[in-house]
Amino acid sequence: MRFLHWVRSLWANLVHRDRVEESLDDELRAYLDLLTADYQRRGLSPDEARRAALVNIGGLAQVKERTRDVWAGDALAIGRRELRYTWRSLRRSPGFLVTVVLIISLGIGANATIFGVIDDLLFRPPANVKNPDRVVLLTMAVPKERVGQQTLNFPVYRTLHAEWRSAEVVAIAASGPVQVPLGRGTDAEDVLAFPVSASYFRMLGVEPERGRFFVDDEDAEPNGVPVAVISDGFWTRHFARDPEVLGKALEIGNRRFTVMGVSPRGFTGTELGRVDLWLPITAAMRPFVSDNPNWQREAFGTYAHLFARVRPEVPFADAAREAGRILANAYPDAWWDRNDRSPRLIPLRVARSMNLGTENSLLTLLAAMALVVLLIVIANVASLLLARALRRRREIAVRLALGASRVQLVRLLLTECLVLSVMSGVVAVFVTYWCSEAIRGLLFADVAWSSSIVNGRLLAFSALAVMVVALFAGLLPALESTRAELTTALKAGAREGGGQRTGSRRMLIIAQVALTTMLLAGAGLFLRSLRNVYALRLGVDTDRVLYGQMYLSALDKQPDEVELLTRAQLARVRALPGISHAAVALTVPFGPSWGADVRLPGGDSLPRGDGPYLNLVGGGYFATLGARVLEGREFTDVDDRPASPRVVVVSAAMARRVSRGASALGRCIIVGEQAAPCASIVGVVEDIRRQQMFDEEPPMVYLPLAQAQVVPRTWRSELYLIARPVGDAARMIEPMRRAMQSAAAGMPRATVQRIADRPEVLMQIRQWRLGTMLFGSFGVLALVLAAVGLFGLISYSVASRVHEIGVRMALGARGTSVAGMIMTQALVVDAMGVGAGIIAAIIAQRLIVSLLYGVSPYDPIVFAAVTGTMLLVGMVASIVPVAQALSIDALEALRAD
Amino acid sequence: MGRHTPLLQGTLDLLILKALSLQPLHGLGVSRRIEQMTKGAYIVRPGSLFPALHRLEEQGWLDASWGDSENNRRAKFYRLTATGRRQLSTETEEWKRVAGAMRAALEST
Repeated sequence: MRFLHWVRSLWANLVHRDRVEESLDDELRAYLDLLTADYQRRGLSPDEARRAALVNIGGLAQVKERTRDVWAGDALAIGRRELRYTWRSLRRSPGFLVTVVLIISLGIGANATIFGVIDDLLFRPPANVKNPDRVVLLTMAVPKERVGQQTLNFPVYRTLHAEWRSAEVVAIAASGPVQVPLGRGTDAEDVLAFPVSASYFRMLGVEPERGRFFVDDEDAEPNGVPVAVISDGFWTRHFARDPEVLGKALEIGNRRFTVMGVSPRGFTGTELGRVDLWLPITAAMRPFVSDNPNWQREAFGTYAHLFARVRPEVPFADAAREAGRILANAYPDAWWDRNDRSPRLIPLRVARSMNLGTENSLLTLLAAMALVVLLIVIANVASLLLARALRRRREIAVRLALGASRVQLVRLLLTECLVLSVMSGVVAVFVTYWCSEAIRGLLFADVAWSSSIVNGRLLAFSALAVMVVALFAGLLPALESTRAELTTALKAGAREGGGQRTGSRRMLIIAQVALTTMLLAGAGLFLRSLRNVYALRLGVDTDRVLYGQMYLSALDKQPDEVELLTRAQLARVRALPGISHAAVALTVPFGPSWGADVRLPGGDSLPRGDGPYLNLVGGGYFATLGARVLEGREFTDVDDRPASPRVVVVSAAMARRVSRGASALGRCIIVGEQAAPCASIVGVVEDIRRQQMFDEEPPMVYLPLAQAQVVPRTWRSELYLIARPVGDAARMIEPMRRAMQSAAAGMPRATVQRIADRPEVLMQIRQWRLGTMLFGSFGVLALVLAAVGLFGLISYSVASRVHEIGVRMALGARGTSVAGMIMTQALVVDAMGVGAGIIAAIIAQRLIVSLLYGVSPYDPIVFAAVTGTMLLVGMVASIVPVAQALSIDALEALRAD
Repeated sequence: MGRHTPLLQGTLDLLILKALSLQPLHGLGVSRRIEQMTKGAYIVRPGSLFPALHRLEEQGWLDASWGDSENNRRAKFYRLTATGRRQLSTETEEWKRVAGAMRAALEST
């Protein structure tokens, strides 16, 4: 009851403060009037009575103040008075207002952006998955590799499904969603289909939004039933949320899949990216993912992810051991199950982000960096507020002398800080929105974000950040400045601020410069890594080469028909102005890949395992890629005819295997079946990457496409076109696509992309792009803040030394020596910060060293560049203050006192 | 205002509660009533009176409303609440005990 009462008056005091104030006014006025009337009754004249009453009350303001002091929550109360005062004083210095709001909002925006990314990628459990902590991806651990062998195959699934007791449900899924053609002709589109076993949804414990998921019969070996589950997004996009969607048919390739169910909104299952529809793996693996008719029986290839829900009582390590025993029994000879490899279970949450191509440690580092930026922001704002408060010391001293209490003044200064923070918080929401949109679009285009950019958690985080900034940046200066001793501050001679006051600002600025130096060093190291990655010789100019593809395999076309069509497309593409080279190929770098049996005549097969790999290419393939021919020549269009002499081109790594040191040129090798004729090596090309950007030199064998009778016909059910434009590759994407489409009327939509834009490539370099971009933008932000801070410190110091500088100049000091004095002051602070920053960066290098590529964490070039930049910034920041100092008129300065 | 007896800590609250036990009063009324009750020994100045009134109000012992005073001047009148009345009786008991004990102590030989 009493508490309730207290809460009620607290509410009144805080929210209806003006009403409460007014009531106090009235009450005291009534007291005064009544007392005056009393005195008059005792015989005093009206004037005398009034005076006596005033004497009795003894200072209206003090009575009010003492009364206010007992009000509940008085220290927190910010009334219209304070707000009005704050607004007036902020409006008088718009530069300060804009600077502070910009600084805080950029700092909070940067933090909120990173928070949003990390929150969504790492901490949000996958949507609609029941108890996701028991769901795992089964990988084969490879010694010294963090990720290991992630893909396995259908026989392994069948075995584990039958025998693995530790798992409640085992599921298999393609290694990722595949693009499949939906419809034909002008309405054709590509959609992302994800082949999964019927157990997949059961394993995740998800409930359909409509209809049902697959039943086991629909996923029975060998060919399943053509049914589909569609995503909520696809239901909206393609069917406009038609309630009658169940039972409708989707024409994918030349087959019709019947829609059986709709998954709940936001569900992407084991994937981070968008999925449009799920198909039974038995019905969709062939031809959408693989053309191998034996894919369900051969345990050699690895192409699919195995997931399981582990029984609640079983530890993952035990479950992995059991799986290891089962697999060792069933597949004693499988290369992926050699002695040094054993199953390892990776929790779904980790597995999902593993394929992002960014190490979680990078995201953690980014979070740390964002916090550093926030610290810089706090230091900067604190120092700006401190400077402002010191400039107002006289005003504050006068107020104190006139009887304002310290609580009141602190409240006033805190109000100011709060107003600034709230304004900044609002701006920060916009900053966050733009930054997040940029990051999501530029770096994570393939992720289906489970939450919108501005969500409750993000707003809560931003609000918290605003409060932290307001408290830390506002409280210290407020306490510091109200400690002002009355007499010193009021004495005209003691001008603004003594040495020890700039001392704390100096420390703030040095810390800021140091943190900035660290960030810039990080940005430099990432930039060098990224440049090293870009400078890697891949055997293909990924950013200059376009590849085009039409999903003909889904149409079950005969290989000859596909080849004819693709060659017709090639002719159109070659005829385009702006295309210098073009060729046809079975696959392209970072695309799918095929293994091949290669023998020397009269000899055994070369060992399989890591290669050899096979590609079938048309004339001009290597020139189109930009690959160097090391020896001999590349294929011409003449080679690419069925009747031409058998020829083959090999990669440098393959040449070494074939000839062990001697020249491979002219040697004869047999590719494919026993009966295949011997083909002579006419050229050796540099090693061209197959799938990995780093440290990969796959042994490759290239045959002319027209001479490819040696490989199974089904392999050739789909072909690529590659083209090399003369100028900007991106500008030729649409012309090339149209040329391909025009040569194949009534066919699925053609896709044209730069090889550099393939997800496989982007994923592999995302780490450095992300690091460079974020370290870079944080670094620049910090640099600007440091410059502002330094500028503020120096110009403040000049302003408070006007008198001293005036005296020096009156005594004959020259402009250059005054300028030197101020410049030195700036550079000393700057240099101390840079020194501290470099030391800190060296100490912190082990956080970053594993994320760099080809650059030492102590790289002298980076550190020299950072030091140079920081010193330059120091000089730039002191130009204006120096000009201020030089414009001081000695006489004016001396006369001012 | 010659005699000046310093107010013991805590007595002001009790005096205010007592002053209001008969009828609602405005600020000056409370002050007058206390002066009268203590036969002029205590004169409560506005600087102590109003903070005390507001404090007691926030504690829920007093209730306030605006009404007309003797010469038709609107003034804020305070009245005891039920809890205030209970508080007055407990504090009175307490005070009597303390005062009795003090007297006994001081008169003992």
